[in-house]
Amino acid sequence: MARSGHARLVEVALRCYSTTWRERHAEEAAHVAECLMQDGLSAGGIAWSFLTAAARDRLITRPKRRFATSGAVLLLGATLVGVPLALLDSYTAANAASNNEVVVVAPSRNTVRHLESFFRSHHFDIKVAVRSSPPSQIGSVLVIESDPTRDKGPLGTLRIIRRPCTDRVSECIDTLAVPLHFTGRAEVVVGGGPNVAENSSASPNLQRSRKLNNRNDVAASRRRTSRNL
Amino acid sequence: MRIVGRGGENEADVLRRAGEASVLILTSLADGPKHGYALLLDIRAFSGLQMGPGTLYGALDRLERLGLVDALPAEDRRHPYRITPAGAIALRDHLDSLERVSAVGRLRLGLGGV
Repeated sequence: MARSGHARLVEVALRCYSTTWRERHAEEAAHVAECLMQDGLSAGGIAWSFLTAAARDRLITRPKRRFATSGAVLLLGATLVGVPLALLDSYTAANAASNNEVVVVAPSRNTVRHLESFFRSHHFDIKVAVRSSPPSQIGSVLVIESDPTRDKGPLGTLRIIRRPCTDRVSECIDTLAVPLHFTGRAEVVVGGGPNVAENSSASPNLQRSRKLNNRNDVAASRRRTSRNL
Repeated sequence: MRIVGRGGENEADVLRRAGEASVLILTSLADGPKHGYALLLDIRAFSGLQMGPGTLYGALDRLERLGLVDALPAEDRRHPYRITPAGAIALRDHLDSLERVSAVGRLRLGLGGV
């Protein structure tokens, strides 16, 4: 097909758009089509792309009206079935086929409450503690301490992903995956305001292991200091 | 379970509904204004996808209506487009959201551990 024939094919496809669209884009679209044909793309393929897009453009109703209607229907539906609106922003990422419950944490004032209720509802032996932190880490999961005395089989292991905290400097835990039949014991530490007293309801084993770690840290630091001296 | 606490983060991700073409266009415009043909070339270069011109203009139209891109004054027969501040925020939100999906996928594939 001659060059003019190709242009004609594209022109016909562009005529399928609404007048408003043509006034806005037709000239540039024809120019782009010319460039693409010079690159070796077939005129038929280009015309087909315009034709299908024109059909879509004509079929789609005005989005403003559609979204407003669907928003109103959703709101009404949620109210009628008695779903508290606050719960609408939480959902279970794990599906029936998954072996883990995956928690993605976006920091908020309610992180502690949400985590506690989630762990409780799944009967996971995971406690949530609050530790005073800088404002940029409030509501973030700072650290997860697992019980070293428990067996670390696949059912006792939490898996995590760390991402930069909102201050983009330190690291927070953004996502954790808990095996559905978790057999371990752990403590999730969430950042609280600077005046928050440490509130840990951790199991005695965890507290003991943390004290032990602290003691080891102190001993190691003393050893380093004496070596330096 | 997902715990959302940043005041409707999901609603902010307007690109979730807008489709892949819109994301590719905004990504291409993120480093400066481009006209239609330059957009197609750039998208092919960084994603390996040959976007059809119909798809391109459909998506540009939608993005313009959403206030995520602006058309600059025409040069010759070409209209350069640029990303708006709202477009940059929408793109960032969408990329964050994709990153979270990717994180869950990686976890389920068995990476990392405490």
